[in-house]
Amino acid sequence: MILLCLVEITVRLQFQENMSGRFEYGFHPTAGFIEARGKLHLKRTGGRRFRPQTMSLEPEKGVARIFVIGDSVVRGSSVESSYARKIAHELNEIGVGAESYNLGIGGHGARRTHLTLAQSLNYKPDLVILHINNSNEYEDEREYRRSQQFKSWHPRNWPMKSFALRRIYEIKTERFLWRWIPQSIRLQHAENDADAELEASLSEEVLARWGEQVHESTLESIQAALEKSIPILIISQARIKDRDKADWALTDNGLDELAAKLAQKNSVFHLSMKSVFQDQDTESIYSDSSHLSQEGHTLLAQAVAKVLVRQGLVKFEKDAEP
Amino acid sequence: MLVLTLLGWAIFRAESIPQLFDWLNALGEWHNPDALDWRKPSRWLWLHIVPLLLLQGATFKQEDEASLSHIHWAARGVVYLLLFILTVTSMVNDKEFIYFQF
Repeated sequence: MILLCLVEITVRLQFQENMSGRFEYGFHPTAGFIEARGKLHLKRTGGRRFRPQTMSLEPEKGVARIFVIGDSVVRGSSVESSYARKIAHELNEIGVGAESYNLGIGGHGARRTHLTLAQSLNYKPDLVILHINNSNEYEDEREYRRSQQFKSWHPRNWPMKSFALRRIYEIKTERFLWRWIPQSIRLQHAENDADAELEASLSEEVLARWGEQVHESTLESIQAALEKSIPILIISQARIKDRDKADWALTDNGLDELAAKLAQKNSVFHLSMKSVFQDQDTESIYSDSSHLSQEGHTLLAQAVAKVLVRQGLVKFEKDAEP
Repeated sequence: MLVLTLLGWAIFRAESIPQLFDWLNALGEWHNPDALDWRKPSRWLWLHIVPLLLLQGATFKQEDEASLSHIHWAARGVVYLLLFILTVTSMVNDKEFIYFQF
């Protein structure tokens, strides 16, 4: 017990930053946003696995600050190769002062993406780009339930109040249980888990519920941005349906219609990935059925930059106020 | 006795008689293409079985698995810690055993 107490004290003192929000699984409002010495550091920590980036707390005058928020599609394989960062390069090349940041987190569905967006608004973006998708709702539900799992002070949860024990439990679950035991078996015993990705993919009811969740969370994000008078551009995800078949097609999974409806408000704009890519060599744009290749990221960044200029959401440096 | 116990367990666990017969039939069918692969799940069992086997081995001479006094106190502490960790990290999603059905 002494050894366990020493480990617990060490974890709490030495890894406080890393453990803060660790068991919220992305539902902690501020995890990953670390302020230090006048800078904001986006860190891969506390259950919110940002690609590490740093920016000043106060945006530079004449430089548009753009946050791109979404899931693994936004996250890409690196910050520099992602369309999120390339947007700034595209704008800089045509004389627009801009800095863009990649706030994409793999596996985050609409609810957790909204929480990231809500916190990001505190760092004075001139524009928020929200990349919506509806393929991560299972993960959102599962992780929400995990975040709630040990919250009560019922005696059965006492051991899990220890960071060290809980981290060991988490490792055991993620590294072993999830990898070794088939989902169909796990779900028979997983009353705490979501109602099964497998079952969901076959259930119209669950898919409808998730669609509604995406709609509600996106609406909340829009309202949060508009309350702070920050314009928002919604990018609706498109993926390749049945890529392994001869008659594969690009599909927006209903997201274009959703985004178009939401974009009827002032200061809310929409860009459809499907419309951007429909005349392109789609297979070279995607690295799999959902994620973009380098070429895909570049093309999307160019399309976004055009929309921003066309809609007057960014200013050319020569037009900027002195 | 073990086989009878397992049979009794199956009787009380089965949700219906046909399901019970399905289980018993499955014991004689080793090449069912619909069956799930057992190799990975067996690793999960070994993860829990191996520490217990090691404990049995460490107390073999004493013929009492609770008798660890012959081990140095520091090593004994580590053994207790590992057993504690294994126990608390395995009981989170525990379901009641079959006794509630009696």
